[in-house]
Amino acid sequence: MFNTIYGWFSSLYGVDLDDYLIGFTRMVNAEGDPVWEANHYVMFGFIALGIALFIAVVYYYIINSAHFNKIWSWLTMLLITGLVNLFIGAGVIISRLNSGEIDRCLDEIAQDGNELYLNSVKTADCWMFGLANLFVSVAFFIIISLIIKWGSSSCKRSPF
Amino acid sequence: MAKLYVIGIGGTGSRVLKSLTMLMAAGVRVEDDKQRSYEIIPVIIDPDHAAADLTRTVKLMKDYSKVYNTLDHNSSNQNKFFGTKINMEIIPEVRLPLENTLDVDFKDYIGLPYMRDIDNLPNANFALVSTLFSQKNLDAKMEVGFKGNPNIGSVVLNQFALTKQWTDLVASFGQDDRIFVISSIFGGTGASGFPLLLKKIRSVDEKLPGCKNIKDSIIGAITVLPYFDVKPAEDSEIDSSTFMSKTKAALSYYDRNMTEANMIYYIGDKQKKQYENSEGGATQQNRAHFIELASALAIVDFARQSDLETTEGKPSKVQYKEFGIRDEVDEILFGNLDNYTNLNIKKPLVMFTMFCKYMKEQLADSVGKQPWSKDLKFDTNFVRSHFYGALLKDIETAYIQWLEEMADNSRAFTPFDLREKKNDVFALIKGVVPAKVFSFSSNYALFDDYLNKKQGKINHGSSKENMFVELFYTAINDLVKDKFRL
Repeated sequence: MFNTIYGWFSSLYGVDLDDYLIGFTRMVNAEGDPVWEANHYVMFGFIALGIALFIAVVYYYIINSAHFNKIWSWLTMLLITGLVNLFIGAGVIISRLNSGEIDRCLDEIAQDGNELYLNSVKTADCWMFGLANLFVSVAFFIIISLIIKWGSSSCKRSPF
Repeated sequence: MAKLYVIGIGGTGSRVLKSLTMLMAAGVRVEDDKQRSYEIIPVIIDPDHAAADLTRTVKLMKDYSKVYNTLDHNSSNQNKFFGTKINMEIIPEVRLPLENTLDVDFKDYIGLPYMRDIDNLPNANFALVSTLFSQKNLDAKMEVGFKGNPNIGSVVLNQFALTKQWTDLVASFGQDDRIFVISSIFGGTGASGFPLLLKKIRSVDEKLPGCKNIKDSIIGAITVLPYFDVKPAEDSEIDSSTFMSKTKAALSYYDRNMTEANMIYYIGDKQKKQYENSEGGATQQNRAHFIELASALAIVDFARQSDLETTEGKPSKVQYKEFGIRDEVDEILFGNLDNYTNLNIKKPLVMFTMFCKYMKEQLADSVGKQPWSKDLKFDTNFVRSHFYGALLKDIETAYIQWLEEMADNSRAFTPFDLREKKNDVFALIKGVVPAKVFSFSSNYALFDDYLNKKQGKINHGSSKENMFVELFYTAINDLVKDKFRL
């Protein structure tokens, strides 16, 4: 599911980073089959979902305030959810890029005779993935809001 | 439901009835010792039909009665606001009318010009009247009352027992019903009307249906001693320097003759504010006073008394009570009142004041925005409805004004800081620091939170008006528990 959702935004950060995140490598094992690594979309997806759920629960059931049940308060929560996920997404990928983790996968592919993938993921792509993560988490927050808001006494009519 | 006929005589009677209505609106219940509520039948005896105190009180009671009739008073509701019925059906206009007092001099009213013998000389009746009444008395107009002359009042007020309203009152009187009479002792109407009324009740015309019940009824009364002065005015017949001598004379009379009431309450205050001198009419609009509130509490106390008996028009004994406050202060706060008084009025007044202040200061900002308003459809149409826009708002305005007047009087009853302070809403009760409540909201947002929490718990099947008052009562009840430990 997460592959599909992130796939809608993959054009933002390119097919190489998409391949890395999906866990697809062009490495082959001894039998000549492709080697798959962990699907990072699942991790980012659950993190985005968890953060969106956490912030929504805090907003609707902890804050649950008549003072904060205006549209701007809900938008603030939405923005916080998006920004946290932007920085998590971009931050984790940049750290992996800097550690050579991403290039290691792509290096393996390059050793296969094709050097197009070497250093093909740039820092800007990482930020674009962070942006994609923002969109996904925002979508989660909206959906979660619509589901759980009815249990809130003061914020049930927020955002509408 | 047993009835309690509260008969207010003169301006003080009207003002005490107003205080009683305010207390009942706030949820103070007039009930017997078994907590069975009385139905209040208000009656005003006042020749001054245009007195502002009277018209304000009658309007307030009519508004209250309409609110009461609109609300659902079954036991599943927690609401105590407007919890005691005011019955306006027996005497719809409240006032017992006095005929032939408009544009008539007292001398014409008693037929002085006809007190002559066949030679057209003044007869013995003329001579008797001349000894009992001064020329100023005889020339007095009566459309604004008796201007502090009980000797005039004792003659003119006799006629109320001839009215259809009095007949209706006697006919409606049940076996368990009671009567409470409010009068001042230092004016004209109250001082003369009170003994007269008691005599009329105890020696009621035996041809009237229901006469036995009223003759043997339990009667309570409050006699209000001087608690205000009026400014001296040359053209006015009301002179507050005579208040004390009149009081002494009347008390002396009461001491010898007043054996018809089962309970008599006395109240007064040595500290007095000087009012504008008004002989009556639309200009007689005295500020509300704590004495009137305390007098209204006498009615609540009287309703709870169980050991009172009357046989053959004679009370088995006459009990006397007085009212006092704990501390001799110029500005009375709740802390200066006795525990029993606080038990009766503190929580109801705090709750109703919060209700009124919310309606006055916040409701327009929350309607259509907060979930309690959206879910229960309290929209602008509701705000414009007769129930809210005319009845509740008028009562709210009158209630706040009543509190302000008491706070501005002397001695002042000023337990509330009534200023609009949206950033410090709960600094409402003077001398009480509100408790902290764990919440991301404060002030009116916190109030809205309590309303939002409660809106799901009230009966959505009842009328919108009932839901509105029930919602506010239950929310405020929780709020005062949390903020004021009430």
